[in-house]
Parts: sequence; structure tokens; C-alpha cells
Amino acid sequence: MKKDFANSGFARLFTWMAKAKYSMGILFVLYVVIYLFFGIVIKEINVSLNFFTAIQMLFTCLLIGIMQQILIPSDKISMLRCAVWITSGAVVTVLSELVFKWFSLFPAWCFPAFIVFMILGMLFMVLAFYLELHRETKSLNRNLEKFQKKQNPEII
Amino acid sequence: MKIRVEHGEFPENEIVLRCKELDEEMMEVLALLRERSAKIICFKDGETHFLLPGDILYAEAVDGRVFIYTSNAVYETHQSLSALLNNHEEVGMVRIGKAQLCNLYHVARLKSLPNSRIEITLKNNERLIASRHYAQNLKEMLGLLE
Repeated sequence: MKKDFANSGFARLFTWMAKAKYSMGILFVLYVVIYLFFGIVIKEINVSLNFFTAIQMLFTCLLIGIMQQILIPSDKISMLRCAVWITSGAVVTVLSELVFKWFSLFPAWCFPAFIVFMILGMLFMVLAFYLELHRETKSLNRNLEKFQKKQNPEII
Repeated sequence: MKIRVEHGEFPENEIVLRCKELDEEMMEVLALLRERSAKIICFKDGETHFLLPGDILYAEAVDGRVFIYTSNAVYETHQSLSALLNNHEEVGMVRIGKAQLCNLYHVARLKSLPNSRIEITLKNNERLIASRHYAQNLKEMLGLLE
């Protein structure tokens, strides 16, 4: 029997990965912008982002994106899960720095500052989840009011 | 639809519906009147009580027994939760958990929670939680999901 492609394991994995890639994209932009920003701030060194560093950063961000999908899928958001994701994201970034030495030419304060910016970026992503909950709460109450007005026998 | 209420010395309360044909609007009015007049038999302290479906705040099943909560008392009924829901869905009854029903007309506010759950605060400030599965059901009933 021919398997429906839309319901195939590959299609599901593809859509699951697509969601991870949104986070990967946001974090990658953050990584690159902050990395290059340090290059502007620090006049003593000439900073440019080479292809391999970009690929290393991309894979680090993909790993954080996948961890987000595993730890906080849209139907299992909680403060604890968000905290675990942010902590593990910071750990992955530190490990990547230890392996790839992205900041070896930079002053010592740069990498801690980079981590702080990265954590702030992730916090903003978590904030987006909670803003979404707030928005949903508003529409729930709006529709509840409509429902009660529309069908309440006492009002009829 | 024109609504007219006449006050006077009538032997009993009476509702007369006048229409050319029983259209959707009239059918809704009829359904509403039938639901409002159907009472639920329930028990408290060995006494039998008749409750209007609209008086139910929520109902829950505990150890195979079904309890009905109103603003001032808790009753037991022999009806199953499914029967309560099927017979009184039109008066705002909605399933919010495997063992809980809630009357939407007695809900003061709703709050979306992480993990796709919904916190329901009733008008008497009691709080219930709609589980992830039944939160979708609730959203559907409120017209948030097509």
C-alpha cells in the first residue's frame, strides 16, 4: 500500500525540524551580530567572520533549536522547562567556545558578555511564549463573554 | 422576533409561540424552553432534590459517583457525566476533564496556562483546570477553533 507522504515519518521529522530551524535562525543572527559588534567595539583586533566559524555557530544554534523542540514543544511550555532550555543553551555555547575557540583573539570579557546577550535572546524567546498565552487569555475571555451574551437564556 | 409579556390574573404561567412556520429561531426557543423546564433528579442527605440545569456550576465524577456543585450545595446524581453533557450541552455544559463538566454561564474568567491547559475561575471564585485535551474542546465551543 502506498504510504501518504504528508503523514510519513520523514514529513513529520521535516516539519518538526522546521520549527527547530526558526529558533536556530534567530539565535544564529544574534550570534553573528554580537560577534561582529564586538569587532566594532574592540579597535585593537580586526574581526571578520570566516565561513567555518559561521558553520560552527550555525550547528551550535541548530543544536539549541533542537533542544528547544525537545524540552519546550508548544504544548508543554512551563517555567521549569524554559529554565532548563536556557541553561542547556548556555552550556552548549560554552562547550562550543571551548572546542572552536571563537573568542581566542578577543579580550577576556567578550565571551561572558556574549553569553549574557545569548541568554537575554533566549529569555526574549520565552517571553514570546508567555505573551502568546496572555493574548490567548484575552481572546478566550472575549469569546466567553460573547458566548454568554449570545446564548444566555436570561438575556434572551 | 417580537417579544410580548402580559401581566395579569392568569391561572398559571403560560408561554404561547406564534409563528408562520417552525423556523430555526423558533426551534431554538422551543429547545431552550424544554431544557429550562427539564429538571435533574439529585440527592442530598437522603432527600431528593430537583435541580434546574442552569443552576449547576460544575459536575464531577469521583470513584464512580457523580456529584453536582451549585453555588450553595453539593448533590449526588445517578446520571452519568456523559448523560448530563448530552442532555444539557445547550445550557452551556462543557467537558473540561475526563471526570469534570463545567457550566460556561457560571464562568467568570478563563486563563490560558502553559502546557495548553486553561484555568477556569467560576463566579463563586472556585477554580478548575481544563486539561490539555479538553481545553481544545472548550476553545472549540467558544468559537476559537474552526
